[in-house]
Amino acid sequence: MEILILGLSRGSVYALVAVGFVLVFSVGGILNLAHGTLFMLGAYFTYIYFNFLFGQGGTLALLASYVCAIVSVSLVALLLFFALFRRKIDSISYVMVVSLAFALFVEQFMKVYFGVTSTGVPSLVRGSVDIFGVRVLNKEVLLLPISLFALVALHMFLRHSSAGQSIKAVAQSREGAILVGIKPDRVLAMTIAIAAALAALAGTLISSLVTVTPTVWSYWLIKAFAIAIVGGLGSLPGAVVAAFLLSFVEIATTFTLTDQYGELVALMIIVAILLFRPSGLMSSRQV
Amino acid sequence: MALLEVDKLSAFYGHLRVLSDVSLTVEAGELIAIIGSNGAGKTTLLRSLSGLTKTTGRIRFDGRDLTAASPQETVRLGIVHCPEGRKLFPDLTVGENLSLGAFLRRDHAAIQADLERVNDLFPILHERREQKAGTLSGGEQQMLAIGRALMCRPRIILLDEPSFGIAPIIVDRIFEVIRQLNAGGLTTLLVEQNVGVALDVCTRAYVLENGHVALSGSAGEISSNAAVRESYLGM
Amino acid sequence: MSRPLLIARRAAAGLLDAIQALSLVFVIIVAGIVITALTSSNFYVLEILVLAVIYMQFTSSWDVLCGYANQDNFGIAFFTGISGYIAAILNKSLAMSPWLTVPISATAAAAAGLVIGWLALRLRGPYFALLTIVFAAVLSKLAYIFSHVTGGEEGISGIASFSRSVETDLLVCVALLFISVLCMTAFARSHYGLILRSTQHNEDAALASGINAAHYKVAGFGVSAFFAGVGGAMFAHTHMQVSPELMAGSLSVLVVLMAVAGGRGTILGPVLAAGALTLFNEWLRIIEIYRPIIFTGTLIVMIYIFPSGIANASFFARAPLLRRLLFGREA
Repeated sequence: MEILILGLSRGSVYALVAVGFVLVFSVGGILNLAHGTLFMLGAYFTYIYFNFLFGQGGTLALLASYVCAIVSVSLVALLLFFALFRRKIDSISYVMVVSLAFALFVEQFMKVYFGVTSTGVPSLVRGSVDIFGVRVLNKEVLLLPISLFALVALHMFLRHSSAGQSIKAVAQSREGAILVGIKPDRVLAMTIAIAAALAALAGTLISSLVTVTPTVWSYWLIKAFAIAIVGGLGSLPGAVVAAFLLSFVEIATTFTLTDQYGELVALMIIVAILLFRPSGLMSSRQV
Repeated sequence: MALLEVDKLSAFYGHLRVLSDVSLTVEAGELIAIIGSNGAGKTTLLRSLSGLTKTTGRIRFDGRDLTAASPQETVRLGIVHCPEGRKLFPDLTVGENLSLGAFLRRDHAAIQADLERVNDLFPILHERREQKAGTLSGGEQQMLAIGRALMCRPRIILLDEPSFGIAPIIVDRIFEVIRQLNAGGLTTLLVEQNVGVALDVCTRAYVLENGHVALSGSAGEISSNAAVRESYLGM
Repeated sequence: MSRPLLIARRAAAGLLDAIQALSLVFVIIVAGIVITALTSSNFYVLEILVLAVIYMQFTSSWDVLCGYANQDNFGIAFFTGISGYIAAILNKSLAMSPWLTVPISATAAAAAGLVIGWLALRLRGPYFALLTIVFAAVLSKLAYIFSHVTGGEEGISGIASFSRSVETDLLVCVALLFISVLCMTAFARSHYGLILRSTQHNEDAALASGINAAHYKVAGFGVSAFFAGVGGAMFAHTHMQVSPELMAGSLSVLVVLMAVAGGRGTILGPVLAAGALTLFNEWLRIIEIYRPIIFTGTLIVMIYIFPSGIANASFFARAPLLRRLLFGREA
């Protein structure tokens, strides 16, 4: 039961991070390896805004720092796109390398200004509840509904708004989109901003739950990357399913074995999928 | 003044010259066919006109210079390209594909009217409006591609191989619509391998060979030309 | 002529050709390091040069596969780590001399490279990148799990150095680097390098022309892993300790960044960039606290200005003599 609850709540955060990663790949054909960094910045910005701008105020201040953090991360992502990626956006290799360089830069920056130790932010809710006899922290319980809400909002946006439709159009046929007057560049910028916002939301949610250190980006990047490929690169539903799958496997092995083995098993599963089913568990391209 | 004037247009892929000094004019209301063998530069010509391929030379549309225009600008001005391979959005529904055709437009009433017109032209699209575009048959996909182009409200439509890979009976239906649209005043530039059908519907035609215009004239002149009869019509 | 003899003769011809093609600047740098080792007794300078040589070894071994086949291996630390730890364990528990551990551990790395190369054959682009990342991550997880063998977080210390003095250690390292670069240049200039290059654009075309691309890719993996392994063992025997950092993702990333900044597919470009960047990083110690920020910032700027790397920058195409001096003769 505990596995189920933890698996669901962690899985929903994984999904938030991975969906953005996949979306950017579908639309731009690029892998943004600074995606984990954007997640991390979400947590750091929350910490910065809450402690220094809103003076560690009450719930309202915390909510305000969440919103500001998400907006800031989107702006950072836009800057990243316009300043660094756009120069050679057609080369998947260039974007991977330059985004990694950016990730390393941010890591060092954070180490210098915030130290290697972790930063904590108080949670929106305190206490814990009993769910089917399992005692769960309230802040852990909060993850699933907020993440699900964001994912549903994303789905509605893609499905029903004109901007969302243009994202889907570019992902499915870049040339077709150009020929009806869509500018793929602008759509990609918008997509990157949205993906960054989702990653930042995950970061802010996690900031009160686990410790955030300057090196945490690589852990989340590998997670997002692996989920994206297990779900079949380019498929959003696939990414969501894979996110929950991965989190269940991790939590279950952590409970039965140890922490170290939990991650090892997750990694081995990724290897197996890469080798035996490289197109992912859901191979059709769906955005 | 002609609606579309192309003057000494050249296009390159790397060092390879695919179009050399192509000049042509299209008057408002005409249906012009461009014929030629594979690799003659027909598709590149259309791509140049819609801004997908960079060129040297001059393109004038309705008196405006479009040589360096982006695809978005050309669509806005009413040059709508219905491309080779159709380039639909396969996982979106037929209805969503059509509304994306009107992506740049904000005149909701007119969009609705255009949608009804497309549904009248191709009733099958209306029937399948909730179906994903990728699940349609080849002929239906071509209809959807033309429908999507019409939703852009074209002043000139560039059709690239509308008969490609489609059963003959559907080809007849599609060309019937092309003729009908032209009769309603839509200027059309048609690239076609199926020379017989193309010469049947067009008013004038250009023959492209190795990237330059080898021959041009009225449909009658072209179809009675001995060389054309031999190499393209197989007579 | 018997087959082994034929192969030996071909290898000799390849090496001779590589010597003729060698960059003058690289020879001068090697000579400069040798002279420094013979004359200087500044411990600090010598240590830095050792580090620079190790990074040169790492980046060139990355480039010999990835630069030519244009696939990004984000897990070179797998090979440096496996080799460094094997060298450490052989030396510590079996008291094997470095003269034996270096070839043995490098060969072990090469064997691992052949296996991974074979497994990764079908994968390209993002899939390939992820596989290499995950393999390196698995290795470092294993190092933690079997911490009674590997020392876990602490790693293994007390490994014998090549010799009693830093000067001689540096000489050994630079000699190994020189030989490695020669061998890799010979490999890259042989038909192996040519075919790897041809696969980067169109593997199908290479297949259609009757080339068994698989064979060449796996071989490239083996070569790359072997020389990365030499680098890993070099690290173990000069730092006298190995830690999980030798198999960490950050090392892999740093190697990729330095190699790409230098110019992929040139071997000497990555070598020169790694050397220069390592020295630059040490020089930055005068402003210690901001050093990592400036260093990583410099990497971003370099990659931004030269997206295909310095060695492939357009001004070298216009200055063939300069290119010849810096990066050696073209294939």
